[in-house]
Amino acid sequence: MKDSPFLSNALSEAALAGIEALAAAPQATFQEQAKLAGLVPAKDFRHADLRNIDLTDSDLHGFDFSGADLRGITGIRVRWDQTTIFDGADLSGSIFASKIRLRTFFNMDQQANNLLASVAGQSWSAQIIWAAENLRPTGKFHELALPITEALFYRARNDEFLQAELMRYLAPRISSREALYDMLTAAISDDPRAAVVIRSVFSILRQHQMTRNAQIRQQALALVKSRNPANQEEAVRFLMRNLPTREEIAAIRTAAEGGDGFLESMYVAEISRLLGQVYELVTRDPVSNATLSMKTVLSSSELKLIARRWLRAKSSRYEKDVNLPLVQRKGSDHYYSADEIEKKAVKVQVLWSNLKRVGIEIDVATDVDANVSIIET
Amino acid sequence: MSFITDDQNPLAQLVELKSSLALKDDTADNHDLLVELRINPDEIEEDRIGTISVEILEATLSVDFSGLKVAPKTRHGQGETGGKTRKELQRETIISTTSETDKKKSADASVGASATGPEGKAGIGGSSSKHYAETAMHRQSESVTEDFYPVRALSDDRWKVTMQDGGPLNDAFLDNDRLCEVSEVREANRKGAMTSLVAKQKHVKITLERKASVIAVPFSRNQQALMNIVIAKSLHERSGSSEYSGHLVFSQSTISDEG
Repeated sequence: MKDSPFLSNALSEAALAGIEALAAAPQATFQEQAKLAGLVPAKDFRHADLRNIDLTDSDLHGFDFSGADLRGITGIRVRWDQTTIFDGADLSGSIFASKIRLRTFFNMDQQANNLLASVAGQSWSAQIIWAAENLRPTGKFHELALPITEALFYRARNDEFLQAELMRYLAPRISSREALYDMLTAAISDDPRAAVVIRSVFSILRQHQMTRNAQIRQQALALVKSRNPANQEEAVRFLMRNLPTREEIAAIRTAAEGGDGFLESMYVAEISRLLGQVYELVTRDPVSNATLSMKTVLSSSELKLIARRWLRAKSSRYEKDVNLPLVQRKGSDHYYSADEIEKKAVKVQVLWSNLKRVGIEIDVATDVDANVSIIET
Repeated sequence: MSFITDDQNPLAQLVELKSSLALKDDTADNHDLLVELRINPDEIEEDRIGTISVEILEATLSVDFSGLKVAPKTRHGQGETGGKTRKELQRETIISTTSETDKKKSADASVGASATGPEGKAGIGGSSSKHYAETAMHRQSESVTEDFYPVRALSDDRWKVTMQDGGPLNDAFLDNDRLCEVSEVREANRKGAMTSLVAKQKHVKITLERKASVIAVPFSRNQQALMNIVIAKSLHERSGSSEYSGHLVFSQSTISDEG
């Protein structure tokens, strides 16, 4: 006779412990989480569904992804080599797609492999000249120029200038949208030391109207965790200035809250930019004009300075100010009464109150100098 | 020769597999391999973490024969060899001709008188146009009809199990139906067949309705993907078959000769 017609408590103790360990480590890297879950890299990832996961900071040496579904995988600073197995895996739209395609190509074509070795041994200027000459239809090695230039691009990881130049030649010549996308995804994944490469990537994405591509956006989101502030800046700008989703804003906010002051200010600046120029004005330090951080407490004097700045910027009669956003205006030197400033200060606080919904908390301290008149300053 | 059967269905609520060999009436050496296969989505209640829904999207029925071989042209789910398919061709031809003639002629004349003298103005004008259009359209559509086999024969004594709509497997796919006919290999010492229902992890959809007291925050995509592998591996281990390497053995049915 059956104990129960229903299936219950079918998982092993080890599996349950693994799931509980996973639950306790939401911020760990994929590799760390896999270890916590008790999974074996050499076997357990074969034929796995790993679509759209983020492999940032993971070391994949010895992982076997044979037959796995790796579509749309993103991440930066991912370490992998010949010991990482991708046999029969679906890599479409992943950070691996472009490099594995090239690896397969050069493994199969010895002539191309020899040519690559010869060109890669030359100086950076010779490499650029080789790419420029051979990417032309009349080039001697035109048929091999595209994969070789792409391979040179990845090899030049420590020479961002060379990378940026090679990308400039490559991008217009990659006819397949998917191949271009794969190359740009891989370029972001490398998290280059200088922002020039990332800037070029986002520029190409804009030119090719690929800014709405979900995978690219996911990859840009991974770049927000870059250790290079310039790359972080480019990624945050790219996302926030190209119709960010609620989830993306939330993810950037989380990164900003857990990051350093730089990312916090970037978040405040971009949110304010989205909301309009008045918000930009009320989230700037009234003296230094620097963007405030996410949690700021100002004195009542500073509040009044912001209010007065707003009034002056609005009423500016300088000819040059007319077409400038409020924060960039020189402002009028008109005298405003304490009452006018107080009224504007109330409006400033209303805007600050609205910003609380997106995690930006700017408050006024109840200080003893509250009665210091701003008019005297 | 008589055979004994051992069916292992550790997750019978998800997959039930049974097999047997039935002697053919007309020959002493040939048998029908009869298989029962039922697959459906189900839930696993886990007291510690919550309720896990399991759906299999695609599976493989694999048979290991010993001392037996499949008789030609007896495999279940195998269409006629030679790739016969039915093609339906629809043709539509539209030919239209338009001819239009539009002639317009105009003439005017006027004569007037003024203090400065007589003024005369006369004009005559004419225009004509002719429009001729011809359209020929040829539309052709083709549809190829292929039979769908939920249990389709593959190479190497395997059968692929899928639903026509691509959804989760949810049917009685075989109900003591003949999977194939087998004949005995005379020299073989042992005769038998082990039938397994196997699915790749990526073809098993797992959803956890978490217990908020244990898993407070919904899993990220990374956590979810890893949890799915952990669950798949654990379910596989219940079958007692070889070590997990990306595919789950849900059920096994072994037929062996008694002698």
